[in-house]
Amino acid sequence: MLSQYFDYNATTPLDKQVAQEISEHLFSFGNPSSTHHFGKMAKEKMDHARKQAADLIGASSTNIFFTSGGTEGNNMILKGWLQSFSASPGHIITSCIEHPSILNVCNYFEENGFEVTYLPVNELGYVEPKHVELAIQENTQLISIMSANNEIGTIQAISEISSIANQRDIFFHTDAVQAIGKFPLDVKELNVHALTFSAHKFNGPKGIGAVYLKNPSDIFPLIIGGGQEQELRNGTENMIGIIGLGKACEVTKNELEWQREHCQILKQSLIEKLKEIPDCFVNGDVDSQRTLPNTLNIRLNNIRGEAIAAILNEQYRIAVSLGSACSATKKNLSHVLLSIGLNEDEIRSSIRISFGKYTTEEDIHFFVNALTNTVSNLRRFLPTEVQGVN
Amino acid sequence: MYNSVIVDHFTNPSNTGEITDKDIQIKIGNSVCGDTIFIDIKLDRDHIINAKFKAYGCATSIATADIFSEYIIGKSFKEIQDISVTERKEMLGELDPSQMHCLHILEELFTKLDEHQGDTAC
Repeated sequence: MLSQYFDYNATTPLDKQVAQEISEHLFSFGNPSSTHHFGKMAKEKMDHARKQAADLIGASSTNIFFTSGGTEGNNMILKGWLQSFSASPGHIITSCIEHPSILNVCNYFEENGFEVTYLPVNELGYVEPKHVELAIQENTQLISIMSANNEIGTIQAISEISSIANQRDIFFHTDAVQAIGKFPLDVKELNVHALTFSAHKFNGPKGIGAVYLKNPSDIFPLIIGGGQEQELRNGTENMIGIIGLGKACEVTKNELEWQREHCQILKQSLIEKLKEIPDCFVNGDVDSQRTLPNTLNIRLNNIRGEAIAAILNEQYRIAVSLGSACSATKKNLSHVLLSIGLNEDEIRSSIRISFGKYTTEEDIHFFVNALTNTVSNLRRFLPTEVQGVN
Repeated sequence: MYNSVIVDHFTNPSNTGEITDKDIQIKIGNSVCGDTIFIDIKLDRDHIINAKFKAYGCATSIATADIFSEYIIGKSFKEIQDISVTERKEMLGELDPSQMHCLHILEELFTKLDEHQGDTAC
């Protein structure tokens, strides 16, 4: 079943070791805030998971805070940091290819008196650090740039951007949801104030994530309550999720180099095989050092990505993701593909292929064969003139 | 998601192609999303004896072209005109909101075909 799954950036299959760890703790019901031995046992498990998460990103346990996932983490950091400026709203810098959980929070602040600069990316999908520098104003209060893009896989120059932010003493956050588990990340080397990640993107369970905070006192809590997570994320902890996240972090740390190399080999093979399909182009960059090893976004001229994905799904049980949902309106076009300069037709012809550690060379071969047949069949009955015929 | 009628027709369309000695060609296009359908039709007096289509568009619009082509083959203009609006809507089965524009495509195909009533075989 996993052999036909090419949508790892949406979510990943649960790792077997993680599943085993979770199943062993299903009946460990203690509340880590309780002082009796049930609570103590739960607290020990939670502390262990926090250490596993910290180890994956080179952090200290005291700087890791559990959340429900990437969206909450991004909201927690942005809202938690900017709350102290609500009386004197200033300026925010982000990029136009961020996840909606960043962009829509920035929109929210824009509606509440803040000024937001949405930095463009170049045609390959990279934020230019010099553009960050040029965008900084006297009143810039936050910079948030994603570590890696979910749609086209471009890895941003986070160290360079954080250096610019630190020189000006500006709070810098990176959404690392798509980056963690795909290449090594060390928060000390990155020198960021805050970082977000989510377990289900690296073979952990859904509904659990974490944020790294260099100085926990920097932010106000989004959820106020009984004092959990150093009072920064209140509410009884999701113990099963936390244990799963911890194990996923440990497994990922152990397998990171292997996974990266494995995916890079598969990606190169995929790129080579796709060259056999006429009018097939890569969106964004193919530089193996600057893009995620598991992500490739392609467009197939004169065919709808939606039609390709539908046939792959129904005939071959292959799962991919789209640059545009099927719609007669323009509102569902990918903001990322628009940002790298693709036109509507190109976006509607695009699909995202993302894979992972369970993908094999045979799976890539099967995928390309299925795609070749699908594209060939769809092009067979393509009209010679398209669009706007009336 | 796609209903089983739509899946059957877009995964295995039976009426793709062209008719070189066609009597009618129906053309429709959506200038916003770019869906384009050309249907060649062969007549025997007022009966449609063959229909072939070419299409660019989403899976549901391809299925719509195939469903329409299949439906009209073997029928007279009069029989096609007698189909109620409700019956026409049911031809595509239950659609997701993002697929609803294909109902308009289907309706447009019927309207364009209507305009050719009175055309005769060459």
